[in-house]
Amino acid sequence: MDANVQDPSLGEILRRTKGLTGEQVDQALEYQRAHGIRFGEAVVALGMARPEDIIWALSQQFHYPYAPVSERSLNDELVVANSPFSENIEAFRDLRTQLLMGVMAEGDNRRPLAIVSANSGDGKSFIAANLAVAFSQLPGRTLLIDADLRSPRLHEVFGVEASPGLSGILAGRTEPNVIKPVGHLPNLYLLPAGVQAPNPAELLHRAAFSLLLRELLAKFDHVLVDTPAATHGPDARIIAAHCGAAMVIGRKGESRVKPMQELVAHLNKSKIHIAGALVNEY
Amino acid sequence: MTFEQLIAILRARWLIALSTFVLILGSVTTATLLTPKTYTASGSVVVDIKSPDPIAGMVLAGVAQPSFLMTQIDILTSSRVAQQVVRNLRLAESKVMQENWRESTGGIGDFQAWVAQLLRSSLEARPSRGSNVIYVSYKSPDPQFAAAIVNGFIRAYLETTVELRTDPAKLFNSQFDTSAKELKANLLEAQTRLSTFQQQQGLVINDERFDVETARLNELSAQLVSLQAVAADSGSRQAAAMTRTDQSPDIIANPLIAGLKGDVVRQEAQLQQFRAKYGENHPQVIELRSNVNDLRSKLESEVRRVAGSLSVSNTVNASRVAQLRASLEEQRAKVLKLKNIRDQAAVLQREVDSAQRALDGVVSRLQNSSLESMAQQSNVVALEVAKAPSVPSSPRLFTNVMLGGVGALVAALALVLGLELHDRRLRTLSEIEPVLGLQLLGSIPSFKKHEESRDLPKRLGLRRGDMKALPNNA
Repeated sequence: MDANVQDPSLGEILRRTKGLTGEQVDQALEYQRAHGIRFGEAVVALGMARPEDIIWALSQQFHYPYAPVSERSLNDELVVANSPFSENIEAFRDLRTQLLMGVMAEGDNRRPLAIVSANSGDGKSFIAANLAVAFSQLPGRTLLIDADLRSPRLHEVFGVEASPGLSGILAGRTEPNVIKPVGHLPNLYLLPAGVQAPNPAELLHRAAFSLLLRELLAKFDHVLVDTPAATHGPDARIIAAHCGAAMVIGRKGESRVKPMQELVAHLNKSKIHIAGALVNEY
Repeated sequence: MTFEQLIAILRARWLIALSTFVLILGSVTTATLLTPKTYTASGSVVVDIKSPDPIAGMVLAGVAQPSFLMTQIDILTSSRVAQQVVRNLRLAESKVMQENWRESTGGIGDFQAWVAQLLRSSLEARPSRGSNVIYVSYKSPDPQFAAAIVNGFIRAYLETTVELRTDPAKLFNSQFDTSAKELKANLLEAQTRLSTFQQQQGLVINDERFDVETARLNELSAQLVSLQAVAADSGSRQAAAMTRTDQSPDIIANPLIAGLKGDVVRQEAQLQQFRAKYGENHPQVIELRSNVNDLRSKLESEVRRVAGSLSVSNTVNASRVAQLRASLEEQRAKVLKLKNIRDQAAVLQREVDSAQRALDGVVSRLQNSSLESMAQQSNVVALEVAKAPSVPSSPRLFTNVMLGGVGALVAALALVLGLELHDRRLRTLSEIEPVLGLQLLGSIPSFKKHEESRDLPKRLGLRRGDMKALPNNA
């Protein structure tokens, strides 16, 4: 196998991550030559690694970051990061493509996307997190903002510190290191909700939020914003208005139609570009 | 509401739907099983309308009317028939019934009538559509009892129909009897009057005798007419002979007179000659002159005789006419009298005849009604005898369960749809666009089952191989 100059060879990656010794690599190479098969197959045939490890190593070679199976270092909710080859994940990739063709298209009017829904439990945070992971597997940098100042969850999902975060910035405090990278996913960054504030709606109304979004949009290629449920207050609508683009989520069999219709009516009133509705079948 | 939505709603709310369905169906089934069983025994009677009445010998007009069958049903369900059933089956003797009666009415009123009313309440009689069969059915918890009651009712009904025919017939019978007696007396009286009259007149008038007398009267009048013509003829001749004897044809036609006239003419001619020859006083002339005078007197006397004979014949004719006229008058009076008598007799005869006819009619009706009053058979026949049913008629388990199932299904659907209407949820992907007016971005499948794709390792040709012992030629 011809190893690229820049990219480490598969044997190199395996040696680095799976702890294969140099002797084992040589054995595998010899086996590969003797049987005329690929190196990965040789390693698997010799029982030095599982097929999953080979695939992960291959993904590293192809700059396709995801959480290695063996470690399970990321939360189970991050299905796109944990089991990227499951057929169900195609739904996220499809959604990513649609958004890139539509509201999040590259250009002057690139907008952050607010992910809104009428009721809590519709799966906004789950979809926001996984969509962010899907975006992060593209070239460019992806930022996920947890604007759910009422019951933030995303910092738990990605396993980062909750504060300092958004609430602090909006309150006018200068917080260092608010934007936190996520392990195993090198292109993904998270802006957590921060300290629980007693006045989330008022905080979000401030112009500081709009300015912050504009600044972040200049630094990141894709910006996703998670919001609280619309039934909890006007937060979601305020955030959507600041972002200028929104995607409505409904959970199949759970979401009540009436609040959803109200939410859409409000969004339409404030001239927000609505990408469409996504149905969560969970 | 599309079918897809309906299915989605049902899948989402299956527990409520199923529990509603099971609850309703279960309660219906339980109620059906717990309700006491009722048995229905049924029999039928046929009302024979088409065939003629055996006694009257013709189809009765009233029978063909549609009300007839309803009347029969009313008779069947009447209290009279019910009481007959009670008597026939001796239901009044049962102790249980008496106790029930005491409980329900406190012993007031007629016990038998109460039992009959009780029977009627569970009895059903209905006509079959388009035919003359009446179905009788009775509901009771005891199949044997139900069958017995139905048969009792049919039997009592048949008896009652016979009674309904014979009772009025008996009544009519007695009525006809009295009126027949009266009519007989009338007839006798009329006949007596007729015979008395005939005896008084002393003759038996019949049409033959009358005809003879009438013919004779006609003959006499004809004779009179012809005789009158003859008399007129002779009268006119006589008159002519009397007034102008020399010109009467009868006198002229007489040969003797004609001869005498000739002789007179000849003698006169001779006399003329002798006169001229001998003068007046010649003896011969004188002789001749006397001869002529003799002849003339003879002629005159002859003429008188002839005229006299004409008057005689005229007189004879006139007397005959008078005689005939008298006898004609007599005959006419006789005929008139006869006619008068005959008319009176005819009136009496007619009285007799009408009395006879009235009597005959009544007698024939009397015979009919006496036959009817003894009839044991009506035009109603028992068709099916009730048998004790083996299967209860109600509750119908199968039907009730089926209906309950349908009802439960409808109720469950209605409940689920009502709940959905009250609390509408997002059910299907196709709802998004019409309800929210947004385009559908897609759907995120459920990640409940953590499944690792087996596809990719296969695609990359990686299979878990066996650990092979490697040759130590490193």
